[in-house]
Order: sequence, then C-alpha cells, then structure tokens
Amino acid sequence: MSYENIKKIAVIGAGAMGSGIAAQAANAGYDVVLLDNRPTGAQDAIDRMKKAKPTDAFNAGFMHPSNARRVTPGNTDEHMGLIADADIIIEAVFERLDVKQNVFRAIYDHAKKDAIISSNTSTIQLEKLTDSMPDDFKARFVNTHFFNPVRFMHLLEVITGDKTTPETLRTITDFGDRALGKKVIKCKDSPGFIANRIGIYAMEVAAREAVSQNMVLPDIDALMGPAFGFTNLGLFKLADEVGIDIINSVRTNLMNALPADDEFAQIYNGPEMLDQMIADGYTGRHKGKGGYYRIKTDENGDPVINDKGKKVFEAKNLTSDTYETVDKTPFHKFNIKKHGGFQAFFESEKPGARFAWTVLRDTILYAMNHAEEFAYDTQSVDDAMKAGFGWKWGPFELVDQFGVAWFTQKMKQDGLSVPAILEKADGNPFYRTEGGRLEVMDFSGAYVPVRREEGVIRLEDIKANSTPLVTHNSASLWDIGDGVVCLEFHSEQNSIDPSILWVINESVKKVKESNGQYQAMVIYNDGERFSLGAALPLVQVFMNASQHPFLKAVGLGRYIENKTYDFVQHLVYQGQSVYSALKYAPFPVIGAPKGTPKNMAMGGGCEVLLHCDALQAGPEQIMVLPEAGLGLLPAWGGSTTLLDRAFKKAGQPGGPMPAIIDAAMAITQPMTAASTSSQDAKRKMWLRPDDGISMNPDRVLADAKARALAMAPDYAPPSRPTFFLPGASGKAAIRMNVDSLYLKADDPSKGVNHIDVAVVDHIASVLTGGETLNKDDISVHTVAHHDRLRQIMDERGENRIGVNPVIELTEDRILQLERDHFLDRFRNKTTWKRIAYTLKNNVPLREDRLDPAPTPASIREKIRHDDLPRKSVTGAPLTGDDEKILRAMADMTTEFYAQKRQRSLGGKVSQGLNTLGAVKKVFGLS
Amino acid sequence: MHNQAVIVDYVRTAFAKASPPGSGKAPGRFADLDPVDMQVPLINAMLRRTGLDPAHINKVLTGAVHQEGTHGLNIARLNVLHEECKLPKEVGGTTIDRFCGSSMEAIALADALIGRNPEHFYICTGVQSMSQVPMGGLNPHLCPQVHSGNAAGFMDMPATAENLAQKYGIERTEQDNFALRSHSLAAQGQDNGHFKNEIIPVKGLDYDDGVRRDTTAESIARLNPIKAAESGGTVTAANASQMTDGASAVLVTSALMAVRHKLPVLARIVAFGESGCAPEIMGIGPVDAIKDAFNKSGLSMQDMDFVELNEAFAAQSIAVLRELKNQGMQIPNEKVNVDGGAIAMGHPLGASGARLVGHVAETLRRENGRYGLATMCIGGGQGVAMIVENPHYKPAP
Repeated sequence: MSYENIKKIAVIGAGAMGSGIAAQAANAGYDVVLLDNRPTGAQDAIDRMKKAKPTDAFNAGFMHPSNARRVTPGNTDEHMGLIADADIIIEAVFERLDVKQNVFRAIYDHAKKDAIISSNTSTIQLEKLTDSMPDDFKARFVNTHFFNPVRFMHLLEVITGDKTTPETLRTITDFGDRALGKKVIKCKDSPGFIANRIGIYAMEVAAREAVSQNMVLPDIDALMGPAFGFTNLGLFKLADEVGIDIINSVRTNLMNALPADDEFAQIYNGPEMLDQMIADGYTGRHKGKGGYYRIKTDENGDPVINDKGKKVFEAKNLTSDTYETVDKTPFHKFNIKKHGGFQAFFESEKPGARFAWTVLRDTILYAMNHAEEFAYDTQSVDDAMKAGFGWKWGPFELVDQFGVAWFTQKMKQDGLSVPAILEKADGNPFYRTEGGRLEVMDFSGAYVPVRREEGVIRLEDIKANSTPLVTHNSASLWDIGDGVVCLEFHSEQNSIDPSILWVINESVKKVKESNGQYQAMVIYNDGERFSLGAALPLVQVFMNASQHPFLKAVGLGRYIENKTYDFVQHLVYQGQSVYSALKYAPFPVIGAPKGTPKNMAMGGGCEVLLHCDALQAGPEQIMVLPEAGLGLLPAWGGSTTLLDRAFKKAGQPGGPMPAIIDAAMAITQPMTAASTSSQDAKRKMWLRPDDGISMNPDRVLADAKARALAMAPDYAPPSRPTFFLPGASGKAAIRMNVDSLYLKADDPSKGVNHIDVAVVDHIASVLTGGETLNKDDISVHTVAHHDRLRQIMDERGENRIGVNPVIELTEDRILQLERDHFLDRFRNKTTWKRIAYTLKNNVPLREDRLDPAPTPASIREKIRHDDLPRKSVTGAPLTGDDEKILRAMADMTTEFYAQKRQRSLGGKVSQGLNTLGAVKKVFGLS
Repeated sequence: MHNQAVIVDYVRTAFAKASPPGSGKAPGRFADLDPVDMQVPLINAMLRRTGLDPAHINKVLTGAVHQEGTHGLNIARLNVLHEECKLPKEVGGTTIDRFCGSSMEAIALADALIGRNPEHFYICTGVQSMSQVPMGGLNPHLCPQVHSGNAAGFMDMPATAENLAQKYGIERTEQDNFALRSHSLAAQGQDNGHFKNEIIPVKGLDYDDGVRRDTTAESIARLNPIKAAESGGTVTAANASQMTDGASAVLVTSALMAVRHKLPVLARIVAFGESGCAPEIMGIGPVDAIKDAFNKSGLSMQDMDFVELNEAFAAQSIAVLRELKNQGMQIPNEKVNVDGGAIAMGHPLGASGARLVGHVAETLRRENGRYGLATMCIGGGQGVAMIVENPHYKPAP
C-alpha cells in the first residue's frame, strides 16, 4: 500500500485519541470509518466534536464541522465489515493487551490483505502486541503514537517491529507527515518513547524541587516559561491544559513499565495527590473544576471578583490540600538577558536560580543518559520535545544555549557523573554550521548533517547559508532558489512597521528589475505569529509624547499631535501603496502563513495576505481584521479587497447589499469573523477557493514555492476591480441594523456601544462607496461617463452627485475612502483610549455605557469627517518623495526598536524629546 | 346589493417552518418551493371545489412582501403563467405589498373592484417563502431621509414588541402564557379538524408543522430573550410568531355572480379598516384600524362573534387587547384566535392576511356566528382590519 493510493482510513476505538485521529483523517480529506465497542460511541464522539466550540481544543477535532460528514460511525459488534476496503486501520482502544489482541484478530479477519495496521498504544511493547499474529500482519504493522489533542499536537512517534516492512514505514510516515500534518519521529520501542519519557520526567523533577525548595506554582510557571524555551504556560499550567487525568495515567504507565532503578522511578511521587485531585474533579482546564489552578469561588460557588473586576485565581499548594490565591509573581515576564544570560543566572544566588538549574540539569541528564534507549539519534530527541511539548529547544539544544563546556563543568561541580555523550562532545556544541550546512552531533560524537524530511524547505537552512537580497530592521528578502524569493518578517510579533513596508517596496523593485532572474515571491516566516498587524507601539510613542505634560506645557503637544496625524496619514498611504505594488506586480506573490496552532495574521498582517495572488497556508491559520475593536477600520486595502471578494463570492444573491453586508460583518464582528482553521478561513473569504492548504506547517514554504513556480510562466497581474455601490441608501440600511443592535445591547462587554455606532458608520461609508462624488473626484474615482456626470452636476447647479449603483467606482475610490475614514477615526480621542488599553491589556476596550444612552442620531451628529488630500494608489512601488519619506520612517523604526531594547533613556521627558527628534527627522523631508 | 362582494372559497397551504438563508436552520418542508409553486395548487383547488369555469376569472391579486428574488417579477401574473395553473393566459395579475397586511389588502382591493365591476371574479392570494427571501429582503437599502426621520430601530420588529411590553407593563410570563395558549389551541384545532377544509396538501404536508402540541410553560420560559433579560428583554423566539413558508387564497366575486353561477358563499365582506401609527409601536396598529372598520360598518365589538388577531408577538397582541379594553372594546378571551395563531402556526408575511379573513369566516360558519373580525399590525406602523358576515347565520330561536 503506497501513500498515494490511500483512500480510506478506519479507526477502532472512539475515545479521545481514536476520535481525534478519525477527525484529523477527515480533515485531511479521507473517508473515515470510526468504530467503537459501545453501540453509539462513535456517533456520540462525532457529535461531541462537531458541536464543540472552536476554542475547545480537546473537543474541536474537526477543522470545520462539515468534515464530520466524511466519518462513518459504527460499532465493532456489527460493523467490522466497514473496514474491508480501508487502507489504513488505526487501533486506539483501551490500553489492555488482551483487548488489543482481540481487536487485531478481528482486523486481520476483516481487512484487506495489504492494509496497514497501527496501534496508538503508549505503553505496551510492540512485540507483545503482535506476537500471536501471523507474519504477514506483522509486516504491515507499526505503532503510531499520537498526542492529545490530535489536531493540534504536532508530534507523531512511529515505532516499527522486526518484521515491519520498509514500505509500511514509508507509507505511514508519508501519511502522518503529508496528510495528517505531523512531525513524524521514528522511536525505539521503549516505555513512553521519547517525548513523554522526558517531558513527564521534567514535570516530576519540578514537582519534587517545588516541595524541597518551597516554591509556589505561579512562580514556577512564570520562571520556567519562554526564558528557558518552555511554552508560556510553564509546567503546571501546561499540565492543567493537557489534563491531570491524562498526565497521571502516563505517569502511572511509565512507572509500571520502567525498571526500578530508572531515575524516574526513584523520584516518582506516587499517584496519590493526582488521584485525589481527579477524584475531587480537578482534572485540568479542559473539563472539571480546574486543576493545579482554579478560579476562586465564594461559598455559593460564584467566582470571586477582585477590585479590578477580574476573577481571582488560586493555585494548589503541593504540600497540603489547600489552594492559595495567586499573587503577583516576581518572575513576571522573566527575561534571562536581564540577569546576564543563562550562565550568570545559574551561577547567581538570585531567587529561582537554583530551582531552574536543578530542574533543567536533571532533565537534560535524564535525556542524555537514556537517549539511546528510546531514540535513534540526538536530533530525534530534540525534535520530539519541540513537536511534542512545544519546547523551543530540545535537551541537546538547551545545552548548546547554556554552553557545553560550562554545563559540563557545572555538573562536575555539582558532583554528578558526566553522561557519555557529553564526554564525547568535549565542550563542542551539539549543533554547528559547517560549510553553510547545519550539522548535529550524533551519539558517536561525530557530526552528521541535520536530517530534513524529503521536500521540506527550511528558511533557517537558507538563512544559515546566504545573505539577504534586501534587508532592514524588520524584514528581509531571501533567495530560496529556482528564481523564487522569500519575504520574511522578523520584527517583534512580526508587526508591520515602516521598515517592513520599505523592504516590501524595495523587494518588488528588486524582483521587477532582476531581468527574469527572480520570477516569483513567497511571503513566509517561521514566527509564532505570521504578523500581529500594524506596529501600534510605534505610533503610540507619538501619541504619548503629544499628551506629555512637559511637552504640552512648552506648547509642543499640539505640534506633535498634528505630526502624529501626518505620520499616520503617510503610514496608511504607504501600506496601501506597497500592498498594491505586491498585488499588481508583474510576478506572482504567494502568501504562505505557516498555520501552526494559534498562528495569527491580524490586521495589517492579514491585509498583506489579502493582497497576494494566491495563498498557501498551513492548517490552522487564524486570520482576522480586528481594527474595529480599536475604533479603527482596515485601511491598508483590507476593506477594499474584502469588498471585492464579497462581490465575487459564488452564490452571492443579486444587488449590492449582500456583498456589502458580508464585508461589513467580517470587519465589524472580528470575534465571529476570525478563522478558526485554514479550512474555516476558506469559508470566510480569508482564503479564496483556489488557495492551498498544507496540512503540515513544515511543508508550507516548499508548497508555496512550488505554487509560485507553477504560476510564474505566463503570469499576468490581476486587473483592478471596480465597484457598483449604493452610496447613502446602503449606508442607511446598515445604520438601521446598527441602531437595533445598539438598542438591544445593554451589556457593554458584548453588543454594540456608542463608540461602535460611530465606528460602524465610518466602515459603512467606505463599503457603500461614500455618499457623494464631486467634480474633482470623478476622473480618478469613477470609470466611465465622466462628462455626463459633470453635466448633471452643472444642470443641477451642485458640485456633487450621489453615489449609486449605476456609477462604476474605481478601486482608488475605495482606497481613498479607507484613508479618509481611518484618519477620521484616528483623530478621535476615544480611539486613542482603545489603542492604549489594548496595547496594555491585550484585550479590546469596551467602554462603559453612557447614562442616559445617547440616541444613534445624536452619536452620528458628532461624527467628524474630513476629506484628505486626494492621492492615487498606482499599483507600482513608491518612488520619489514618497519613497524617501518611507525610508526615513523605516530608519526611525530601527532607532525606536534600538531605544526600546536599551531602555537607556529612562525618563518620559527624554523619551518625549527623543520622539520630537524622530518627528523632525522624518518630517524634515516633507 | 348586486355589487356586494362575497368570499366564495378560502384555501391555504399548510404553514411550514422556514429556514431563512444564513439562519443555519435545517431546511424547512417548503424551503425549496418557489412561492408560485405554493399558490398554483391553491388556485386550482378553488376552481375545482367551486366548479367555476376558469375563463370567468378576471384577475389574480397577490400579496407578497419583499418583491425580489423568487417573489419578484409581478408574482401575481406568474401564477397565471405557471404551466400547471388552470387559469387562461388572459387573466391579469397585480402584486401588492403592504408588508404583513398584503393579502388582506388584496381582498380589500377585490372588494372595492367588485363595487365597480359586479360581474368580475378575483382570486386573491398571499404568499411568502421566508426561506427564500429573508425578513428585510435579500438586498436591503433605503432612503437615508427615511432612516433619519424615524426612531432608531424602527424596523426592528422584536424591539417594537419590546416597546409595547414596556408601555403596557406586559411581563414575560404573561407573554409566555399567551404563546402557550396559541400552541394548545392550535393543537386542539388540528385534533378537531378545524383546518381540514382550508388546508390543501402540497408536497404531502397537510398540517402546520410549527405547532408544538407538547410544549409547556417551562420550555417556553427557558428561552433567552432577544434583548438581554438583564436589560429588561421579554420577547423571545417562543413568544413571537414563527418564520414560516406558506400561501393562502380566497375567491371573491359579487353576490349577484354567486347566485348566477350557483356558488356557495362563505362570507360577505362588510368593511375594511386601516390606520397608521408610530413605527416603533407598530404592533398597536390594529386598534385604530378596528375603530375605522367599526365606523364604516356601524357595527361594534359586541357584534363580533369571533376575532382573528394576528399574533406577530405575544406582547403586541396583549397590548392590542389591553388597549381595546381601555377604550371600551374588550374582546372576550373565548372569541380571540380560537384555533391558535401565528405564534403556533407561523406568519408567512404575505399569506397571513387572507388566512385571518378566511379562517374567521370558516369559524363563523362552523360555530354559527354572524360577524367576524380579522385584524393585524404591519411593520413600519400600520394596522388593517376586515369585518366579514356569515350569510348562513341562523339566530337562536
């Protein structure tokens, strides 16, 4: 059975794992049979996953609920016949040898003779599982160890037996990697395989040290977070997230399977505490009352609310049965650099230093001492921890981070024996770049090339081996071979700033002027976030400076405020221009957001993707335009492109309003419009029907490059869209709807409030084409009948005509409206409040309702609208003064980040003065 | 009175729960039916039942709201052009939109036309596929001066009901009880065969599938109000009329023609009343419309044996009943909506008016009543009311 011929998957066992695997196979487009031993177990599991909220990671197995259609439920008593034409059959039943053996015999009786069979066991040795089965079964058998939740966990550990054929391994590896999108790592047949063995050990050490060093959980989780390459959940919050019940069962299984002299067995603290937690209902966050952490409740069971209006959290005291209120932790946003780096911190007597060192040291030692038992090579160990537990560095990479020689020395100081592999390393790093190639030290101590899955292109490999074609503070352009370039963002959160815009502008020119050397562009990055949108902190520096008491006192506040508006006005025009330059460039541009879980393309980061000729997205891309929540609107062409897409959407009813309403919903209701997976994005206009989805994020870059190369020959840029819009009557209809939403919603945290009424009014103006056209606008903003339109105005003696569906409007018209109304909103101080609040709290500000509530009409009376000077977005890169201003703003960005990094300037006054300097630098030119 | 308009026959389709576009509701029984496909069986059935030569029909008058999509292109005339319609191509068609009052307006128009053309026959239909064209239409835009000249949310129907609930102090439980009454009376009506004569099965559906015969006060109380309860919301999906697909039809001619063609007479049209009011309390519209009808007919509420009051919302219906009582026109409970109303069987906008008129006439005949009143509120702030008389009425000896 080869990978290409796989059509149908069968999964036996509809528990958490089985149903998750079935859902992921359905997500990949296969027909799936899901059988359970309970009569309606499979149907119940499908219903549970179908109905789950998208945020409920443990239950939302389907990337879109409609994928449930691909899964046929059944039970093992009556429906084993359904597996007769299955190409892969995955067993995920109860972890008991005899139960599994019975299932295998039933599979053997019903399945076709070339079907591949796998078990999802995490504890039973493969040899024991299959010893009663004939050889032709063993040849087609592997162990596939998925992680829960299957859809989101990247790791798939694969274990083969003596008789497993290479073809079976190859097929299951391709299936796991390409179809299910997993990082497939071949492991040896030993208890816990790689990831759980090390990861669970780390948690056990942390629990032990927590008790012995008297550390509280919130401190541990803050300390053992991103600073050491762990997720920002730390260790115990992660356990809550995974599920205390799951963690405990893996611990118990490990304990039972490992020899008594294994270090894990020696520090194993017994199941009692977790058993008690589970019995009390503290099974972790995905179900039950909480876990290590819970929400504090009063005697009635209602959440306790503190004086800031927030819920109060409590964390478990590991040495007693009590929960204690979570206070502010000294390790909040713990930054190792502030402590002089790893070595200095570990050598210090600072709080947390001994704890972090002990936990990391013991975990690394455990991994190194046992690696050869469970892994085929060092790289597998690191890869498994990264894919399975979300670590940034695996154990060997961590030691590289610390310094191999120092680590070895420090261990010796601690009186511990040095593992063999560390001896072999002899102070050399485990990873090195040699001749432009990344190499890793193997168990033998020799360097071997870092292994890459066939067909995978890694930007890190390219970067290690070349210099960028274009680069600036926040973005770079790389040659990824075959005439394709890759535009990479690398600013903080990949937020879009003038530096990125300048690189885009420069890159378009570079490719254009390369005389065919470069034929296509891919926009891709390896960041946790594709891009969080426009770099608001940069703008906020100006905003803050203009409001600074000192600068206000000396009369500069107003000046800076006006310059802030100038700055933003430039920024909006620049973004529109360079995004348009991408869209109308004479070469294809492929947007390639990686689509790892929780990967976001927000605001300006979403808009850059909306301007690409095609997208090739990873599986879980979140795309959203959240500007309305900030009191703004998408003005880097986002409103315009969405409107265009809405009009071109198949099945759209006639007339202008359905499309306008679609676009308005996407913009004004970001919470519901945000995509929850890339398949969901396809149904929400973020992806077009022809856009591609790569199930494996690791393959996005290669797939995008292939797509670019396929499009490059005979490529012609898209024609600029035109619009037939209703003008004021359409806006009135939107107002009518907003009125009722506003009047209905009294809860300011939900519903439409008085600020939203104004924001939506501006958005409605953009999407309905504006209310009137004047004579000056006609030639640029309308497509035809210019003379007739002017004649009508003359005959009426008016310099305006109402926008209506017989007037064909240009893309430039809508872009101008975006800029006009964006600035209207940005000039409003309520917007400043929203921006400041959101940057500080990471959630949008919901203003208190006014009492008495103003009428919608009185809210609209106060709306201020100004037409900005008319400028055209040409679809070509910026040149001349526009380009110079962009470059100056880009350089200012670099300075801003440098200052922010140094934080040497301290006082707010000097910060303000610095800003003034920046303002002068930028606007000295204009 | 040779030019006295009479209703010869009344039929309707069953009313089927609608699945408006984007609502995510499972497709309704009639979701795929073109509104013309709902009306033509009714027209043919009336011709069959009365034995009237189709060549005598002069015009089809159709009430339909949101005349776009499948409701567009002068749907009255489309009925005639339908390949299965028994009417000859010479029959004209005029489509009428008075929102919820559309098909009652069609009957009123026929009544007026009979005055001038006593030899004429008119088929009055009403239709709405709320599955195919949602409330507000597929492509809503409106004159900005209309929007700015009216109270906020003037076209938000649940909000107008909420306004009345507030104005008349109508509690949630009162509304829920009214809804429960509607469902149980409709279920009784079904059990007693009270719809048997009027429902023409289409696509096999011969009963109103929105009627929840097993519903309870508790289950109705469980629904969340459309406007948050904390902020005083009382109107829920369960105490409002249901979105429904359906059609209704009556055959109108003069008493003279009924005698000449030996046609049975179901009812005599006595008077048509109409009114306007503030859009934000549109639900109160029936009160003044009823007064108008009484003024025109010289009758009073005491003369009415049965009343069909369209249940757009429970709050709205209760407000109308209360205001009528305040003005000395109390309707005894046992005379109102004796077979339930739109909360149970649904409110296919264009079709409801003819149903109310037709059903009150059916009830009069069945129960030997003399005068009946059909009345309804209209979005945007109007009311209509029609009084009919049972020609077969026999005073108690």
